[in-house]
Amino acid sequence: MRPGDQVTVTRCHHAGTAALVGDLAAAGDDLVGVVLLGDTQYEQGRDAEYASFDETWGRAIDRASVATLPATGNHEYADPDPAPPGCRLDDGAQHACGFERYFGEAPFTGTATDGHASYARLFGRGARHPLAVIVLDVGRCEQDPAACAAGGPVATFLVRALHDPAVNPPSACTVLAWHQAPWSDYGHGDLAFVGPVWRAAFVAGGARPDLVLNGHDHLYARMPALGPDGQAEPDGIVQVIAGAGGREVVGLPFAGDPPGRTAFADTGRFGVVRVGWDATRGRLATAFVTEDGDAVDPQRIDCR
Amino acid sequence: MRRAAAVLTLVALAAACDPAATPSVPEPLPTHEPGGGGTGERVLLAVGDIACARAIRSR
Repeated sequence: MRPGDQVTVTRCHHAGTAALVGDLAAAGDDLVGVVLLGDTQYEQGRDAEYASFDETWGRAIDRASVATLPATGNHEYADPDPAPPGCRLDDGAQHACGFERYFGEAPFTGTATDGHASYARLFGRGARHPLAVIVLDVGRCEQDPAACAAGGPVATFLVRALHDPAVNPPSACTVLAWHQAPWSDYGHGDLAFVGPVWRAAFVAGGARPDLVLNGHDHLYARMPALGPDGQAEPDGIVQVIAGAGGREVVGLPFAGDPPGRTAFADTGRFGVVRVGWDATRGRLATAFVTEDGDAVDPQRIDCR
Repeated sequence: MRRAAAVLTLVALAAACDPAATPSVPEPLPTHEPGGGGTGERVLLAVGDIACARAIRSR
């Protein structure tokens, strides 16, 4: 075991967060899916390392029998092993083949897919307000920023998906998910290489997403609605960072006002983001559920 | 029934062998009554930055 893998107050609580899946279901939550926002398995997303994820989150998702929506992170693309033949997430200079092997067809399946771990799923087809979830392969862009550039494959897939009524019906609630948060007042700060992907989400009218979910910074943080350049804007898009899934949190609980644009942050507790979806009223309800079961920062979003 | 099953099998095989076929698998609406006090709310969980290499915390 690596020295860094010991369970401490601020590290390695992935078993505790995985237990929330069963806890929430037992409490009456009607779970339909789990979005994995990247860096699912440290340090490098290798085949052998995935045993740790599998024993905790993998089992919890299997027991709950819900959809798995995995996103790549930068650590998935840090796999140093040679890419096996046939791996679809092999870009030559980097690959995420451990991720691909573990999650199988999940990152290549949905109402749309680019064959490179960007894809969309639609929940509740036929409901008044179905839920469209679009997952983007932004994990590769740290080493390959061109993939996330304006007109690049990730932004192009996003725009097409948002405009396709079979992927993103006009009455849907729409959630985007990828790893590296474009806007953060914490560890990684604003990330310019993701900016074009964020801006691509600002398509006209009701096709615009209602919520963007990210990870990368190891905390829970909610931004207010932000415009194309990350400025607070009432008609913007809410960004939530759900990066406290187990590996570590950035520090001990901090009760003061969060910095910068951040509307709310929990820097010291592990947990998951619960996204409630009301298919009748067309609403989303978000909250950070801590490892101990506290639901903090409850918010409601009326879908466009 | 047997003929219908054979037709279905052929359709499935044709789809599986078509390299141009685009996967399209909408998630079905749950068929059971939703929980959460009968509000009709369904729940998606989101989580990132998850598993250390091989360290399990018991609860």
